[in-house]
Amino acid sequence: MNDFVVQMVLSFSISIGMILGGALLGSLGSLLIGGYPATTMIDVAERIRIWAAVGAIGGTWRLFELALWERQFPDLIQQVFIVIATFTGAHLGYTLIQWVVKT
Amino acid sequence: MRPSVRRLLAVFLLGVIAGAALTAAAVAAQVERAVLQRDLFIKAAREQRQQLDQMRSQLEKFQTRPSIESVEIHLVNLGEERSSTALALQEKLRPLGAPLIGKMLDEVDPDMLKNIFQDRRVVHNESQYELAVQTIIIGPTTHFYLIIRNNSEAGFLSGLPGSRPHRTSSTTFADRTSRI
Repeated sequence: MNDFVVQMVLSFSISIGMILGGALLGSLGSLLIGGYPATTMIDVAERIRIWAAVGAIGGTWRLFELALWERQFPDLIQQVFIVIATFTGAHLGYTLIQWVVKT
Repeated sequence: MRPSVRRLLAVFLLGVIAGAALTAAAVAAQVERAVLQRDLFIKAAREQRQQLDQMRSQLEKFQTRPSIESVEIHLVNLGEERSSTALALQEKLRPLGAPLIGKMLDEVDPDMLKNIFQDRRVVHNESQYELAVQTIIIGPTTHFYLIIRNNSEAGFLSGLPGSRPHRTSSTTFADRTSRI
């Protein structure tokens, strides 16, 4: 499969996984210490949303820099799509957590 | 540990964690409501306990101040032959002293105590009796020594200390006559 598509799917999955895993396990931890699991879930999801995106992009950032400085515009556009996929994954994870808690 | 066992153990633990996390997510809202309710109850219980402590300390203060616990009424000038009348009159006068019970001794006004019985008229067996206060002993048991004058039998109490009849206007008479 095309490297670009692989990267995009991976980044999307990693970011959504970080949000869901962090929020669910955070909620479990809160349950164990007698806290508020639903509030913790939303709170954790909101707090790690940006870090999930950053973590998912992580390795590809260097490629983004190279494409930018060496003016390889097709690569640059691909990187932009990967970043968009990553943020979409993080936002989707956060939205899913909100749905779970609020419905 | 054999690799297959380790793998099975890892899969089992992952399953436990994933199951617990998913269950926690599924029941999060209900658990949160329960936890909130618990916290509210704990807060309410703490406030109630504080109120209780305050009331207890107030009660301790209250208990250290002496108050009137009982009221005794003595009729000083009725002879033995009239003991039945004395008992009946005492029974009729007792409710007048009842409101004093529970009052703090340091808050009681002696004039007010005197005015409860002074010049009061009581009707018994179609006879009218007029009261005068001779002595009041204020204490946890408050004693009223009352001189009683039978208005129907003029001179019945003449010569007794404090037995001088009080002149009252007709209005006062009507106000203070007690038909208990």
